[in-house]
Amino acid sequence: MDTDIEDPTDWPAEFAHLRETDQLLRCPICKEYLDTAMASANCGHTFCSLCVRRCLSQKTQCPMCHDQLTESDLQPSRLIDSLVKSFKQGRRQLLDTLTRNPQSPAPAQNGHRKRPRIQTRSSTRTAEGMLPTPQATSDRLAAADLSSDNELPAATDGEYLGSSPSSVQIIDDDDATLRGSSRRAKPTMVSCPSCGAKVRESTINSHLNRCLAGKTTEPDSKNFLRSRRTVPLSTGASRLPKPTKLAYKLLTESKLRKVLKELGIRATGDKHQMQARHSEWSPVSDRQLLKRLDVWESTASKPDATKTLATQRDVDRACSQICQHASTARRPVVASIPESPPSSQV
Amino acid sequence: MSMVPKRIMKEVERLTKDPVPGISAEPQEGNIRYFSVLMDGPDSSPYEGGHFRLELFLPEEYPMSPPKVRFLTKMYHPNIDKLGRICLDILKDKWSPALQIRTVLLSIQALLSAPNPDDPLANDVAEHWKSDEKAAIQTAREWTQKHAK
Ligand SMILES: [Zn+2]
Ligand SMILES: [Zn+2]
Ligand SMILES: [Zn+2]
Repeated sequence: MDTDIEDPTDWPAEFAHLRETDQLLRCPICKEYLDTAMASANCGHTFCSLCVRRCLSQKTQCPMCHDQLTESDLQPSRLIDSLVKSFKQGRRQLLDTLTRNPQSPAPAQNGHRKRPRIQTRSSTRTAEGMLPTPQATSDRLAAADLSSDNELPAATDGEYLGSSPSSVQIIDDDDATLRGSSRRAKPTMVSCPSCGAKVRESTINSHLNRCLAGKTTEPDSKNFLRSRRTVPLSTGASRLPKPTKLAYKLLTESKLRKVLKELGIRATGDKHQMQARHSEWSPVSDRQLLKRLDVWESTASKPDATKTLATQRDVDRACSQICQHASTARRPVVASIPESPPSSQV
Repeated sequence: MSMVPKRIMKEVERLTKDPVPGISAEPQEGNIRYFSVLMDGPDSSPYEGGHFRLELFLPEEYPMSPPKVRFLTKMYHPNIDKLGRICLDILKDKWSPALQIRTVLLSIQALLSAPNPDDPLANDVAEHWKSDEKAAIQTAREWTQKHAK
């Protein structure tokens, strides 16, 4: 007597809200999912049509709260009928998914939902700073976990004893829960007239301002990850110190290395290499352009170490290079990145 | 075995899978409507430390009618008589088909914690309870030691 008996306790204990939902969609009399739900107009308690009529033929009171109740007080509830229907349809699948891999409850109903989380985060998503759906879902489930205990919610045993059913918000239809923000309207993207990068329409003006000023404040995530190791993160508001023209000759190699480290620039190689790197970096004065520095480094074309002043052209070129690169690689641009604790590095 | 309503199967399943703490209820082999129940006396009650046997029967009309329950272990309690019958509203007029075996057993356990001599079933015990509660509780403890070990 097990498998064909469905029960709220089929849900793993850590998914207390699913248990509760399952429980609430059941008839208090027959313990099955509500069949042709009828709600009392007086107290709101809801039963299968057949179940409650059988009770009322014996006693004209609500089986839950004992308020006066007659058949004429019963009202059909189509919403509940629909909820029950759709919950029943998804139940087996969700249960299978949850019990197979309780750690990452990534639901999969069609290809759209199946998209793996890693990929979602690192490459396909174009970003707009929204939370990846699976994360949001598991957060909610984690929260459920905190409040869960092994007993069913009071609705099971306690409800009858006067307490009304605990208020449960059935927050999402399954689509919203499972697919969440990914279904949110995709923002309209436009091309920056200056650098050609794809930018959200709503932010094009501020982007353009920055772009023309030679700065983009939207680091791509790879850049972000790499620089995180060496630089305290800035969201654009707190920038790295303005580079000063260094008298390289007066600096020892270790001193120069320290300067580079503090600036978040790679501090490898001998003094000559570091000097070249620093002088390449200093004109642009923006951490974003470390990317450019990488490109420069990889092309192995040694720049003129004496070039220390940037023209607006240089900056535009740098911006263009970065933005183009980012957009062709379709790397996600994270609109707002978390600040790392300032104490961690520097 | 005669036709057993799904609801009863379900309750049995649940009682087994997710038992009530301090209470076990097992259906008799061959008669899923008849349960042997073992209930621990609640802490800080005169019945603490005792293990009480009960029988519970689900009549044909269940859940439209309440289950029939009685103690098999001798009890000294104002709401339980010599035959083990229990004076509890939900087993009578306050029964509702929304209740279930689980709720019934929990309510009985609660009754052990909170005897109510104003609604007695065992008149002599209730009198004892009202006239000298301390002594009555002491007797209940002794009975627990003697009969419910
Ligand atoms: Zn029903
Ligand atoms: Zn009611
Ligand atoms: Zn741009």
